[in-house]
Amino acid sequence: MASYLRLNGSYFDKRLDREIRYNVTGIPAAVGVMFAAGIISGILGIGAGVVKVLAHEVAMKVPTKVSTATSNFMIGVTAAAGAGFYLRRGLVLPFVVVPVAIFVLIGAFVGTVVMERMSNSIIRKIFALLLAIVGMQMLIRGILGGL
Amino acid sequence: VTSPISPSRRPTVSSVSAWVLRGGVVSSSLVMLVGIMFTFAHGTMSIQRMKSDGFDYRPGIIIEGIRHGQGKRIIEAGIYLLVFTPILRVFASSVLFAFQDRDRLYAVITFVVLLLTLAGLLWIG
Repeated sequence: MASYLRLNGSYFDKRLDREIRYNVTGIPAAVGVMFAAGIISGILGIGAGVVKVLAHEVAMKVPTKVSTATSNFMIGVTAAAGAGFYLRRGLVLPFVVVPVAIFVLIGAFVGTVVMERMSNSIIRKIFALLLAIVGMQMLIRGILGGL
Repeated sequence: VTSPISPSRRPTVSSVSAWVLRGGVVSSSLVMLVGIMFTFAHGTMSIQRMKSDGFDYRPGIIIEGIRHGQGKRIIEAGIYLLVFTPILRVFASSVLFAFQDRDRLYAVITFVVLLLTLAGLLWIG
């Protein structure tokens, strides 16, 4: 299936200074996780990137850099599909969007440059740490009933 | 963003996608910045407004507001630009897959993604 879809590929790793080849597996499982990712993203508005990266890495066995880059690339599209719903209901606050969008964009540009130079294992550790922090925060908020 | 080993100088799906995304994101930020400056210039910026003033999606109202130099409407136009950027990117990819690469499989996949995204943005909910 991966070869029919031509998903096996390669990328140039700046840190290792060489081309890395990879093969993709577990597509049916990944499709299931992605479907769940879409629903979670719609409900929580967290962007399903977190779940997508998990699907890429655990089910499809894609290298971390390819995984984060792909997820980043897709998020705009999936987010746009959900955004219409929020925009039509007036749930978006334009004056809050401006600082958020601009600083996130600057951060994203910096992040991608830094990411290219980091090792896959460091990226995975940072990702795990952030996942833990976000998870804890949601857990605490859920239990204490904040909002 | 593009592969360092590029076999030709023809536009590739990755290079055009990168170009569309960067262009869209940068121009949308600039439009939003102009909107914020107009709001401050009119002295109508306040924390209260930040917390409660919602997005009005109706294009007619936005265009009318921009004519009158209303900062909020300019920001809303910038938000539209930001939301449509990834959609434009998918559209560009599907055109390139179909007419330049003649890659039927990926042309169909990207076209389906385009339709689903537009459906989500314009109709669903």
